[in-house]
Amino acid sequence: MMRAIDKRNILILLFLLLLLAIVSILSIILGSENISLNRFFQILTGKGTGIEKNILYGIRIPRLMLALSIGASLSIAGVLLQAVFRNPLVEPYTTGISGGASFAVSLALVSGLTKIFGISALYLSAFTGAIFVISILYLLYQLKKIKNINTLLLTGIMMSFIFSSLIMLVMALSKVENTHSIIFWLMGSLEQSRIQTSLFTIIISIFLFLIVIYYFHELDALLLGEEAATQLGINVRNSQIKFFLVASILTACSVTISGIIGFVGLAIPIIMRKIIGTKHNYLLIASYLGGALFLSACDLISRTIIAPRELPVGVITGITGGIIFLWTLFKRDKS
Amino acid sequence: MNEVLINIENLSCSYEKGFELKNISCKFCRGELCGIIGPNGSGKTTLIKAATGLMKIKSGSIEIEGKNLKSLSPSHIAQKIAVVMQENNYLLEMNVLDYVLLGRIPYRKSFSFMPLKNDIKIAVEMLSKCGIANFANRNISELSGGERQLTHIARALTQNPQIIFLDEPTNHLDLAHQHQIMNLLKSLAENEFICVVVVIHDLNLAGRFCKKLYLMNNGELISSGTPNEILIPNILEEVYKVKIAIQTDNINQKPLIFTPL
Repeated sequence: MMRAIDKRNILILLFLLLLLAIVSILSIILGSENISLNRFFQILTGKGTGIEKNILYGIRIPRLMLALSIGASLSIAGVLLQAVFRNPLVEPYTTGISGGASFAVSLALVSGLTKIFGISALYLSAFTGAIFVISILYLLYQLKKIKNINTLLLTGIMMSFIFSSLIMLVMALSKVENTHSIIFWLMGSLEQSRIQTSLFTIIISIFLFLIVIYYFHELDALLLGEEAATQLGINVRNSQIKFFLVASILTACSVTISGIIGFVGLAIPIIMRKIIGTKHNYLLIASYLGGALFLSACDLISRTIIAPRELPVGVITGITGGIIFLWTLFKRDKS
Repeated sequence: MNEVLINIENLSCSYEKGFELKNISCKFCRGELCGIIGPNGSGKTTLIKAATGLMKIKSGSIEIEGKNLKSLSPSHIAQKIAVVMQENNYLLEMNVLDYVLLGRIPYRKSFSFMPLKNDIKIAVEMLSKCGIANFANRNISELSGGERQLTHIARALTQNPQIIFLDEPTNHLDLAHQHQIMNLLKSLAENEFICVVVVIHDLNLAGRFCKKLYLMNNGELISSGTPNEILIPNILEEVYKVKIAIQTDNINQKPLIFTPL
C-alpha cells in the first residue's frame, strides 16, 4: 500500500537524476566551441589539447558546477521559506536579503571599490549586505521585537522595498557607466564562475542540504501550523529560526556569486510539490535536483541560443520557468 | 473515581492583552469522555491550549500523570497528550497515511528517511480504528469534512496518547458524521481506556455522549458534573442568556435541550 507511492517518488527522483546527467554533459560539450561526445571522453582521460582542457576544466565545468549549486541552493531556500511561512508565494528574494546585497553592490560599484579591488570587492560587499539584513531580522526576532513569523516576513518585504528605492537613488545620482554595471549585476549571471567559487557554493549547498534533510520531519510538522507543530513536540521557534538562517545563508551565497537570478526559488519548490507531494524527505531531494537541473538547463540555453553571444540567464529562467509552472498548474487542475 | 490523568489546580493564564482564564481547578480521568461547554469566548479553547503547554501559566499548576507540565519536554508532552484543533485551512498535498504518520514525530529518536515499519503498523491500526483504512492512499485534500475529521483523530491516536483534546470535532458535520465521531470518541474512552476531552457547542450531543461536563463562562469554570447535574435550565440560562427548556429523552434517559420561541 505504502510501497507503491514510494516507488513512484523514487522513480521521479531517478528520472530527475538522469535528466541532470544529460543536461550536465550537454552543458560541457555545447557552447561557442562544440566538442563531440567522443572527444569529451578523450579529454576526460587526459588526451585533449591544452585549449580543450582549458575550455573544459577552466570554463565549462566550473560554470556547470556553479549553475548546479546556485539552482539547488535557491530551490532549497525556497522550500524552507515556503514551509516556515506556510506560504507558497514566498521566495528567497522576498526576505530582503537580496535587497541588502544589491544595495551594497551598487554602493561598491559607484564608490569605485571594484576598480581598486576587482571582483572580490563585489563579492565582499554583496555578502556583507546580505548578512547585514539577516542579522537585523535575526536580532529583531530573538529580541522579540518581531513576535511572529508573519511579521518577520513583512519586515523582510519592507526592507526589500526600502533597498530597491535606495538602489534607484544611487542609480539616479551616479554616472551612466555605473548605472549599467548595477543593472547588469541585478540581472544575474553565471559568468563569473571560477573553480574556487564553484567548489565553495557546491560544498555550502550540499552541507546545508544535509543539515535540513536531517530535520525534514520538523518541516512536515510546521506545515500544520505553529500550534499543531508544538503539539507534536516540535520547538517551533527554534525550528523556524534554524530554517530561516539556513535559507538566508544559501540565498546570501547565491546572490553574492551570481547576482539576482529570479524564479528558481519560487517556482521549483511549487512545481516539485505538485509532482512529488508535500512530504519533505522527498520534496527536499526533488527540489535540490530540480533546482540544479533547471538552472543548468537555462544556462545552457542562454549560452547557446544566440552563440557566440549570451543572453542573461534570468531572461531564460523567467520565460521557461513561467511556462513550465503554468503547464504544471493547469495539468494538475484538469486532473 | 478512575486514575486522574490531568490535574489542574487554581490555573490562571492570559493572552498578552485581554482575555484570561481565572482560577480554574478540574481533573480529567482515564476512561472518561468529558465535554467542555460554554458560550463563544468563554475560554474553552484557551483551556486546551493551557493544558497542552501552548500558553504561559500565570499562577496555579497543571499535572500530567502526577508530573508538573513545566518539567516535561515538548516531545514528552506530545507522547502523553494529542490535540485535534479546529480544521486548518492549509491544504496539504499529502496522502492520508503520510499525514497520520506525522503523529509518530514525538517518538523520533534518530534520522530515518522512510517511516519505520512499527510506525506504519501503528498508523494503519489507528486508521482501521477510525474506520478509514481504505482511505490510506487518498489525498487528504480530496476527503469530505467528516472523513477529514476522522483522519485528524487517527493522526492524534497515532501519537499513542493517554489524553486526547478535541476542539469542536463535530463542527460543520452532518448528523451521521456527528454521531460517528462521538461514538468513536466514547468507545476510545471506554474501550481503550484513555481520557478524551471535547470542546463542544451542541449541548444535546454533549449530554448524550459525555460522562462529565465542565461549563465555562467569561474565563471561569462555572460548574462541573454529570450531564443531568449541569444541563439544568437556570444554570444554562444564566450562562447563555436565552430561554431554555429541557425534557428527558425517553429512549436514553438523557436531557434534551430546546430554546423555545
